[in-house]
Amino acid sequence: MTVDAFAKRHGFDQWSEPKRGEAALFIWRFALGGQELPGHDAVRIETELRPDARASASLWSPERKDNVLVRVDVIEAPSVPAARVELLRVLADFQSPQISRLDGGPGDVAFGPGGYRAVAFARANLVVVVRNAGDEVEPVETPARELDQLLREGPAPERSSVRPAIRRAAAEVADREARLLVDAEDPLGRHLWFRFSAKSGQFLEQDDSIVFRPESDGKQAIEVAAINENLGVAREQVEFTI
Amino acid sequence: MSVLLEAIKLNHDGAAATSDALNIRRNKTTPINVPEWVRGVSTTPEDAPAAYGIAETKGNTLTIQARFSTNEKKLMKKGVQVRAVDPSSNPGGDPGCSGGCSGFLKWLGWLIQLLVGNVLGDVKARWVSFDSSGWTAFETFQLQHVRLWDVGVGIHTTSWRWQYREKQNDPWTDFATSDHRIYVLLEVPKAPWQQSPHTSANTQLPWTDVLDRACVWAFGATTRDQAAEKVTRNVYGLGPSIVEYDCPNGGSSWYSSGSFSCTAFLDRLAGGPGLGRYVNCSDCATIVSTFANAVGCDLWQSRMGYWFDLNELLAIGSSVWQTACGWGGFSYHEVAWKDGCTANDPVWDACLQVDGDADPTTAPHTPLLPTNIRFGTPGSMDYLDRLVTPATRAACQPQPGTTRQRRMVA
Repeated sequence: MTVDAFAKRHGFDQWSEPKRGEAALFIWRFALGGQELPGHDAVRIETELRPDARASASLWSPERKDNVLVRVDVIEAPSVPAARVELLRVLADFQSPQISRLDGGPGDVAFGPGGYRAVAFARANLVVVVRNAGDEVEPVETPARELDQLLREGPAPERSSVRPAIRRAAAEVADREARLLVDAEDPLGRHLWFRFSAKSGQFLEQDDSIVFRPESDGKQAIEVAAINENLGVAREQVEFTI
Repeated sequence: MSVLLEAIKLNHDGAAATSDALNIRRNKTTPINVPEWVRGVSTTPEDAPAAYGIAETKGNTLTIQARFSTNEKKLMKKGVQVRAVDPSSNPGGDPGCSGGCSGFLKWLGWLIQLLVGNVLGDVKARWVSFDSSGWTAFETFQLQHVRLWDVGVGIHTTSWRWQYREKQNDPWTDFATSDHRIYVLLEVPKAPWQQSPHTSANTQLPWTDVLDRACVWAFGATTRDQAAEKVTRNVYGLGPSIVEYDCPNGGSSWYSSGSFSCTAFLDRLAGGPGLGRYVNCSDCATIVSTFANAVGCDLWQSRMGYWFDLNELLAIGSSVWQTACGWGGFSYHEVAWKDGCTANDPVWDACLQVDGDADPTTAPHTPLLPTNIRFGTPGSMDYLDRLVTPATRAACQPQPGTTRQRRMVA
């Protein structure tokens, strides 16, 4: 594709990798359930399994604003660097030459056409694009930041009383990395997505499971969160030594 | 009833489409089962759809397969001769012309027949035999008086009045009717559409939900270029009521990021929200090529670039001549493109109209929708010169090596 031309234009070498020492975060099997944007109703949610990523496209209608529609796209990559490449691919789909990096934007790195009419950002291994899809155009900064906060911090514990149950959360250590073994279930049988976080290191998806590579040897602690579509959340701490 | 029509297969050979219908499905989620027509299940033409490629079938004897049953011992023993006729050309009752139709009415009837009538002709008579339980096998029947090759791209209803007789010289007895929705395509659809594997899991078989639009848009076309032009004009004509160029968000892709969100686009066409009202050039190129290729064209989606300035243009859904939302230029542009997608190859661009007069760099402007226009080179007064300012034409190069593709439908 055309990413080479856009890589130079958007200074990709400056943001192609996460910075060393940053907190590690990984979102796995993410799916929009319709509760993620406060004050918005989901109009349509479509999920697509691509060969190299899991993607969803959705339309949201703000309450009491008939002519405003917000489009939210989420692409899940198998690692943080892979997500940065996905973000570059997204930028290569903007025809405007006026797309630029947004300082202080949502996510780890964000771009947009200015005025927050649209924003594309990478948060951990996810790429999120928030745009105006309706007749009336409004800044999308608020829904973009709210979704980013949900990814960054996970849902608040009191968000839903019906929570998943984590039946197993463990780590299998080998060759200076740990394969995370997670088994969780929603009481109503709904889809679950997972959020893994650590003070540093790298997560990546490998062979349909999550692998953690620490930045330094020693005692490691990973928080595992299982989240259902109503944003009910269960959390477990996994500790091990590498 | 002495004889029952049980089922009809129009696509009875999934491995070929030279003498029968080609492999199709309704949409991403719904396959079309063969036999397409089943007694008690198929009540409207839409219930029994089939598509034919003109190029692949022309000159061949088309065939269908049908299965019958009877509960009469006498017929089980001797078999019957079966045929099906076009009710409009073989009326069973008073056709309304018993007093003599005027020349105009006859001409009108011929015209209606040509435009929407029975393109598969009649089912040629043949003898069939029943087994001991009163059923025939799926028997192959030849079609005669086929008009498929004379009509161009379109959608037609074929109705058959099925008749049988016990002896060669007996009068025919009507015993069933069947109605079919027939899609006439120039050729077997090209990629991203596939013909194999012919399985319910293959979502890339041509969708009748797409053919319902594409065949109307390309109605009457008898060549690929004609069909591509008609599709391009119809896609551009979707603005501003259905779609509009994405000025607010920076001209991003709405239906063509990764694969083609065809299901959502069809929803938008049907009056639903789809995935929003905006489109960009990649969306338009994908829609044009995917819908045109569904009727037999052979177009690609391919880009030109990068970072060039624009002459004033009319973006889809806009009535204002401007340099694309006032940005001054594009980072890239994408069109439906033929063959190798090089400077020598023609483009079809449903995203915008360029200035078609002798000086595309200044007003006044003469709107020209780019259809079958060579991309060209600086100064050749083809597509490139009309789209891009003289100073930046060198930056706008065809990029087939890295961008020529046909997005999968989803």
